[in-house]
Amino acid sequence: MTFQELILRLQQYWAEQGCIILQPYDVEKGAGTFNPATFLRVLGPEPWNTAYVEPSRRPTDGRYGDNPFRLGHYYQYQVIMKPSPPNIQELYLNSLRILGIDPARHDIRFVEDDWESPTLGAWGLGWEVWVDGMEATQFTYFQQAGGIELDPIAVELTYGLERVCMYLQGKNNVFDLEWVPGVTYGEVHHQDEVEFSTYNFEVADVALHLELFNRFEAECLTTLDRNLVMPAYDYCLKCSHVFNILDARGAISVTERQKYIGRVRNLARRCAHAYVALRERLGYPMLKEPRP
Amino acid sequence: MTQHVPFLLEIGTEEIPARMASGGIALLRDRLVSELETLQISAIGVRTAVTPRRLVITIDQMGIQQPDRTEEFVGPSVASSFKDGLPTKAAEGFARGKGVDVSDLYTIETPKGPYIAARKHIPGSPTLVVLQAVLPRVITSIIWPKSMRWGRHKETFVRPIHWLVALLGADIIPFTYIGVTSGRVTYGHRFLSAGGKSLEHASQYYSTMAQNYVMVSPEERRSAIESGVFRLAEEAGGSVIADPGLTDEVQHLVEWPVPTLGTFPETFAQLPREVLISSMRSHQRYFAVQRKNSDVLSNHFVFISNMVTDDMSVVARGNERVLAARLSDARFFYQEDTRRPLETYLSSLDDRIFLAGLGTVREKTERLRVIARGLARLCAPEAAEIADRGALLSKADLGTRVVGEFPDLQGIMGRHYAQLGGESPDVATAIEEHYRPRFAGDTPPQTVPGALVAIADRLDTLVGRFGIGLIPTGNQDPYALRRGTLGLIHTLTTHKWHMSLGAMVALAVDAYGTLLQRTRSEVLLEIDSFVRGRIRNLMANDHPVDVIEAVLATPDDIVTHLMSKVESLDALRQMSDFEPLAITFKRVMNITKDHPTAPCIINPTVFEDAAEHTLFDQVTEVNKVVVDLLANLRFTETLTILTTLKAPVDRFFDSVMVMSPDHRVRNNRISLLVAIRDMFTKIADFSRIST
Repeated sequence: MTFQELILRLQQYWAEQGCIILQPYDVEKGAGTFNPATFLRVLGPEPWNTAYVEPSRRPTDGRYGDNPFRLGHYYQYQVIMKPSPPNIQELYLNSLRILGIDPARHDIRFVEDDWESPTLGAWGLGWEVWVDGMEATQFTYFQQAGGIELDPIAVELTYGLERVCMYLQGKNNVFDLEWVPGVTYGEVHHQDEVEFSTYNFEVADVALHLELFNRFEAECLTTLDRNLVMPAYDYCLKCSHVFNILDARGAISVTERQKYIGRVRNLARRCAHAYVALRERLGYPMLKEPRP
Repeated sequence: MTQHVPFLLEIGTEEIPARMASGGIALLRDRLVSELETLQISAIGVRTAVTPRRLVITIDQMGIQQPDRTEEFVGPSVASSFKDGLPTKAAEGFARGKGVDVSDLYTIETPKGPYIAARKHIPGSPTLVVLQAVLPRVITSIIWPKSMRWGRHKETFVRPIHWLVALLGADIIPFTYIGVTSGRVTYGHRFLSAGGKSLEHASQYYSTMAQNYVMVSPEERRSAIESGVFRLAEEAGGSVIADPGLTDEVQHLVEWPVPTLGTFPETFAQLPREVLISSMRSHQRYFAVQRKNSDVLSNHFVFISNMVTDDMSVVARGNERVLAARLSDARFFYQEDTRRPLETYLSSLDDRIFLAGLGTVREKTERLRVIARGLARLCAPEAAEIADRGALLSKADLGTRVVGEFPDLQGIMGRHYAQLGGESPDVATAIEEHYRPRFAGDTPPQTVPGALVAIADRLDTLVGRFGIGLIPTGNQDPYALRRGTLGLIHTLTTHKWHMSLGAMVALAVDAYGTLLQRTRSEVLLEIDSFVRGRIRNLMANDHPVDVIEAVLATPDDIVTHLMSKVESLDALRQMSDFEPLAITFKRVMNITKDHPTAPCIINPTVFEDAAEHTLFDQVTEVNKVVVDLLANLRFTETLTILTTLKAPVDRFFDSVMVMSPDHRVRNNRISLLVAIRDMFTKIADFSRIST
């Protein structure tokens, strides 16, 4: 199964389960959870089912394209269902069947792995799902986001697309993955990995990014004062990304690190509260009676 | 006799975290058993079982009917119950409330005087009815380390509940819990069994589970894992590295354990043994295998599958690929780490906070050098240089990639990298040993420099925390100061280092300089009592508390001495003639308790009685011997000599009155007794011994 086919099958499958297939959000982020379609939409009483591919940037994980398993930029497949359906484990296992992973031929395990994002003030309980010892998916029942208790609870499934695909294709190097017949993952992304690793570790202008962090943070807060939640949240995301670059660049000490994370968390928390208030003011437009 | 039938409660859940399984089922069992006792429902043969997907309690024989019982209720006082021989409103109201006739009320005597009472016959209810209310209450009462909500439910549980089986014999005990209604349908293994299995009777549970690929008993899974791992390691020509902790976890990750052998490429075998084991263990929960009669790892490993498939090689290949990826990561980290000498990682500690308010880890290592050198001066001057170097490098490996990935390998990697970088073997060993004992029962550092750094490390943390007023209370001991102090005590006794606590604490306080918020004497006072508390806990299993207290009440603050004295005194205490001895010396203690020091110099010319002269001569004689014995730490002999004073002291008390009206005579006698007391308190405060 090609990388492309893997994505298409997941899109098709989760669309059939009633998920809105969204496209990636156009601001840099470290994980699909940061997408407002997850972080903000899981808040409040309105039902929400969505699935999307999320390009995720983790500057510190970059390895100049030398490591067969680690990437500074990779793809997550993100599923959010709110409220969490009672049969979500079955729905998930069916998605593996769609990908050709037959639970009767493999050892599939749900191993405790509680998830927490200090930058988002979010946490949840769940598992990493193992397929023959490989961590295929992070499976989390969100309990809190932006410091706010969730009600109802949303479930988040995050597939590591490259990892699952390596398993399916029996490849030992991510860059050897077949994206489509005749084109490898390496041909699409290897040069980017080399360049971004070099940039993030060696080149990024520290003074500029420190300045950007402060300016973006201020912009987020000013924008929140005008009750513009989505634009404000964009600047929270930008702060998070700038922080990640500074971190990779080695510009932030262990002590300062906690302070920066706290500042991003504060923005995320303020955005979350503003979003909850906004939806309430709008009268929860997506809170329709379930169809008979 | 009530009829008895089997009982079954099964809570079917999504996968319960391995570390919570045992605790959860134990609580469920305790709560149910105690409820049944309160309700007088008879229950014989309580068994529990737990798997990742179910919590199970069965009772072989449960009474189907609660016995009838009679309860007595106390009402108002007799005085307010009857007026002129007629029942008052109070008495009538009480009778009505209890559903009895006023004429059935009777009088009982209470500490507050006579009261009226009513006896009520309460017929027992059917167990089936009682349990409808009890079971949800019992399930709710389980306290999980972490619990969650799901869907639209407000209630929490460890993971979402999918089914509840509650049977009393053939009958369903009906109740609903977090949206799930109890019934008789259970489920087998998630993939090896299909569909629900309806149980006609509670007694069918265990056989049904076994037929549906669920080994419900953790003990059974454990032995299947242990024997499978052993057998596969043998087949691969090696032997398993026993890892009970890993078995504890893995037994709760599977319902149907299928131990399976895998291999990894030989090229990884060059990695240090501990790195290989950690890579297999902490990320993948695999068992490592070593070559026969050797501590070299083989390139085999055993993993515990939860599935049996037609072709297990598919599952094995998957696991092998994952491990190879993990090992190649570990090799990358290891190669990065060994590019430069351990000492160069010191700079990474500048950035690492030791504890809020107590500076960086780098600063801590500088303190450790000073403290370790100071300790060496007190007990092992020849080891000072090596201890100093060991202290400097003790935390350097915290900056390495391998320790970043596997924090358990702190110290172990430090030793390894130190050796590779050309440090002396003694320094390398000191780095590794300074974390010892790592857990209860672990051996303390065996080498002198290792022990010096270990003691320095624990003193530094102890003094730092106390110095900023963060003292462990109750269950609150986030930095494991209690365990650390026990390690310190073990290290001191292992090496027979007779250092005074005051001197050790002073070294650490001085090393902190101006960082601490409290003075040396404040810190010392609290640490002294904290350390005595640890000695008390440590010794309380083997020695009576009053003996320990008697020794700890003395001003001696040399840990090793205090412990030896407890042992000597306890040995003496077990002699048959100890009690009269103790009574005599307690009498000495009591009579001198208002005299911290002797009121005068003993003057033999003031003595009036022969018994005084005899006692004085004996005391003088004994004192010479005692001084010598104490100097040689011969506490048992000291006590033996002291006991020879019993007879002359008794004679003294028989012959003279201490509280003579002549104050010169009186003071002289008291001074003689103070001299005796002071010899005894070199060992213990006898007034604390219970007789």
